[in-house]
Amino acid sequence: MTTTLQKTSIYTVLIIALIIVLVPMAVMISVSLQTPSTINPLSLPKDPQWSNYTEAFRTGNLLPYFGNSILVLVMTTAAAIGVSVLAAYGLHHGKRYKSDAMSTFFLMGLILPAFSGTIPAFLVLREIHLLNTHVGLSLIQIASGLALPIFLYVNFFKTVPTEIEEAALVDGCGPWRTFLKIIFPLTLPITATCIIVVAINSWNDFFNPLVYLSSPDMRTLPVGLMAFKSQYNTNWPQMFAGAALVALPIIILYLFVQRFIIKGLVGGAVKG
Amino acid sequence: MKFMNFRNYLLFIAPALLIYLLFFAGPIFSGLYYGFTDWNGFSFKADWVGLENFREAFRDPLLLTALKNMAILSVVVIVLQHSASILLAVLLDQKLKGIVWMRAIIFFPVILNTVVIGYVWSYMYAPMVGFLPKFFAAIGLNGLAQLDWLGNPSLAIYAIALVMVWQYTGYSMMIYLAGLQSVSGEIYEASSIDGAGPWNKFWKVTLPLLIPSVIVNTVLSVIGCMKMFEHVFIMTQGGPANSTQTFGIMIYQYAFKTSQMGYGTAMAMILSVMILVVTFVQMKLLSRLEVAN
Repeated sequence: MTTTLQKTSIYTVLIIALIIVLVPMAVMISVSLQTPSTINPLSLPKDPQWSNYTEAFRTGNLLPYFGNSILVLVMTTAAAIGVSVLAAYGLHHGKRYKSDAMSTFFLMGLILPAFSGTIPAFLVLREIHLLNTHVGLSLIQIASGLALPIFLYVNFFKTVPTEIEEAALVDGCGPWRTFLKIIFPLTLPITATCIIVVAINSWNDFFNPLVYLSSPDMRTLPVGLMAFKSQYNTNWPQMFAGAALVALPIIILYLFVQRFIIKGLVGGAVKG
Repeated sequence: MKFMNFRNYLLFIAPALLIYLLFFAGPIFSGLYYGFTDWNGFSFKADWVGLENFREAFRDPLLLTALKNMAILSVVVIVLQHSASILLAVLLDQKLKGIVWMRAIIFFPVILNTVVIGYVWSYMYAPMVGFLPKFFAAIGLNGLAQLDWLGNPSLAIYAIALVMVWQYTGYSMMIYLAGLQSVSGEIYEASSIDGAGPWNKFWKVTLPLLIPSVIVNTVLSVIGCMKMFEHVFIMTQGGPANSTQTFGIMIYQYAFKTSQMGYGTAMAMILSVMILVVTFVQMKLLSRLEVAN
C-alpha cells in the first residue's frame, strides 16, 4: 500500500545513507591511484597510478606481514573453534553441574575489554617464553575470542532434539562418540559462521599484536600498516594503496559470505 | 537421562577453560590483587600499597578526561547512531528492490580494519588537504571548511565519535532489524484497520515493541564506547593535549610507556567494574520488562 511519494522518499533517505557509507571508501580508492603532488579528493584519478600499489606492497614490506597474519589467523581459528565447540557441548549437557554459572563466566569474555588484563597476560606470556611469538599471540586471541563461538554453539545445541542423544545412548554411544559421529556433523552451518567470525576478528586484531609482538619481522598486517604511516607520513596515495590491500581480502570474503558474517556478528547480541 | 557424567563434563570444557583462565580471565582477575600494589611489571612480585593507587587515580586529571570522553562518546553515539539505525531498520524492513544489498553495504564498515578506517578518516578530516575541508569549501561553507577536526582539542573527541557512528550504524541497524522481524505482521494490520498512519504506527506500535532491542543495543554501544582504544590510538593517540584520552589509551600508556603497572592495573579494574555494573543494570531492566509483559 506504499504510495509512489512514500517510495521516493524512502529511496532518497536510503541513497543518502549509502553515499555517506561509501564516500570514504571511494575517496580511499580514488586517492590511492593519484600522484602525491596533485591529490584532489573530489575527483577521480585522471591517470590511474597502479604503481602505487606495487610500491606500497614493496616498501611497506606487506608480503611477510601478510604471511604472519595468515599464520596467526589459521592457528587462532582452528584452535578457537575446536575448544569452543567442545566446551559448548559440555556446557549444554552439564546443567546438573552448575554449567549455567560456567557459561556466564565464559560470556564475560564478550563484555570485558581484553586490555584490562593485558599487563598480567604480558607477564604470563613472558614466563612461558611465548612473548613475541605467533603462538603466544594466537593463545591470547583464542582466550579473548572464544566467548562468541561458545555462545553461538550453545544456542545451536538447544535446537538439537534430545531424542537424537537418547537414541545414541540406547545404542551404547557415550558422549564423545555421539559428539564426534552425530552432533558435530550437524553443527557445520553454525561452524561455518563461527569460523568466519573468529577469522575476521583475528585478521582485524590490532591491539594484541601491537602489545605482544615487539620485533618488526613478527608484525601482522594491521600493525605493519600502522608503521607505514610513520614512515611515509605525507604520502597519502601510497598509504591508501596499502590500506586498500589490507581491506581487499575482507571485501572479497564479504561479497561471497555476507549472510554468514552478519548472522555471526549480530547473533551474539540478538539472542542475548 | 544421565548422558554425561562429571568427568566427561570437565573434559569437554577443560581445553577452553584452561586457555580462557590463563590468557584472559586470570589476568583480568589477578588485577584485583595487582591493583593494590606498587607493581613494576618486571616480575610477579609486588608490594601491597592498599588503596593508594585508587586514591591517586581519582585525583588523576587524565581519569577525569577519560570519564568525560566516555560520556561524550556514549551520548553522541546513542543519539546519532541509534536514531539513524532505527530509521534505516524501519525503512529496510520492507519489500523493496535491492534491499539485501543496501543492508549489506550499510553493514560493511563494521568488518573493516580499524587501521584502514583510522587512515581514511584522518584524511577525511585533514586540514586544508582532506576531503571534508575541500568538500565544504567547494560548496561554499567556508566556516566548516576551516575546522581542524582532529587537531582542535575541543573538537577531536566529537570527530572520533562521528567515525564510530559511521562504522557501527550498520551493526545497530541489523540488531533493530532482527527486533522488527520478530514483531508479527498482524499487529500492523490491526493498527492499519484502526486507521493508524505510518507516523502513528511507528510511535505507538513499532517503538514500544522495539524497547528490548533498544536496551540491548544501546548498552552494547555504551560498552563499546567504554572500551574505546583503537580508533583513538590510530587517529590521535589520545591527543591533542590529552583531549581524547580514554581508559584504553591511559592503561596502555601507564603500562607500556611509563611502566606504572600497578597503577595501570588499578585503572583497568575501575573500568572493568564500571562495565560489569552497566551490564548488570541492563540485565535487570530486561528481566523487569519480561515480567511486565
